[in-house]
Amino acid sequence: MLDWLSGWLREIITVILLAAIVDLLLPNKAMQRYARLVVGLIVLLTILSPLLKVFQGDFNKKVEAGMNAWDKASAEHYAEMPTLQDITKEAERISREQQRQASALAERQLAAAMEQELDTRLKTQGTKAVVTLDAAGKSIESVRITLQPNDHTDSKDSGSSSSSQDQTEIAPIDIAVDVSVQLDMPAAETSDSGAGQDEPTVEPAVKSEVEHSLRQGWGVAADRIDIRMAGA
Amino acid sequence: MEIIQIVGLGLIATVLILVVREQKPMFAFLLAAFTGLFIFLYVIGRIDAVISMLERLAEQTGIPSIYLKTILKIIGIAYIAEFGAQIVRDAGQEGIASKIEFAGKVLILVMAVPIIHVIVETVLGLMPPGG
Repeated sequence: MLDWLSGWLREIITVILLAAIVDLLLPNKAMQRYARLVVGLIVLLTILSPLLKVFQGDFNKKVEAGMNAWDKASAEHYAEMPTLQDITKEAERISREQQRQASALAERQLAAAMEQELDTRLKTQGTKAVVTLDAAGKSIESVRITLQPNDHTDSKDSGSSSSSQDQTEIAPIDIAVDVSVQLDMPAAETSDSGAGQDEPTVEPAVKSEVEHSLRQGWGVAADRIDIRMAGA
Repeated sequence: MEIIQIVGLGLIATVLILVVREQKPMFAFLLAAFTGLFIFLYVIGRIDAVISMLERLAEQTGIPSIYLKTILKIIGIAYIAEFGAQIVRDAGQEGIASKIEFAGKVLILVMAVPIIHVIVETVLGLMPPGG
């Protein structure tokens, strides 16, 4: 109780001090009358604040919302002329946006073209390609190819459920790390699963074919290509 | 002692204006306006100390920042309106000067609108319903 009282008194004293300083700072008599009215209202609001809190909840928010609404309303009245700086900034923003959209479009189209090319070359379907262009949008930074493993299964129609089972068991392995790992892996896995050609690793022949076709078609270096089989 | 510099500047400007006024009244006015602007800008930086003191005071006692903002806006409007009105008055346009002051007064009163709104709402809420 005493705590609350002292806080209230402190607020009143501060606001009155502020009012006195404002009176000192104001330039001339004519303005002082008007400013005194506003400052007096603020003092009144502070004195009434316990009462207001009982009846109105958080009135400070209300005052603030009212102020902001006024500010906004008066700001709309200004016929605001954008400065040259604003215009150049806006132009920069728009051109950045445009470039971003253009490079996204280029990425999508490149990816679509690569998918089609690889599908026809490897006689597969549903190959997915993700192309990332570099920041300037001039050259291809990386390509990720996800091959569908279905074409290399010998018993595609009968063993599709079992092959998918196998695929779920073996996690998709990122083969693009280096060649020695890639050569080691199939041997280890065939001994483990015994599933033959179904595991989602990329065969060296397919890998070299993909790299070859990408290099021929789009000039992508082999170390920028990341090939993996579609996993589970 | 900045006050000496400012007063010295004012005196020099006054003498120059008196000399120039006979030949070129236009330049005399420009000189007066420019001197006024310079002194205004020179001193407005000093008010910064007062304002930061007020801010600290408000922060310590925890009064809502919206009050301080309103008060500072009032001071700013008053000073700018006063300054502009004086320059215009120097140029001999008493009518426009008083209009500028009028605009300043109106804008200061606009600051009070949200506060009046809250007070009136509270008073209405105090009334017994259906009375």
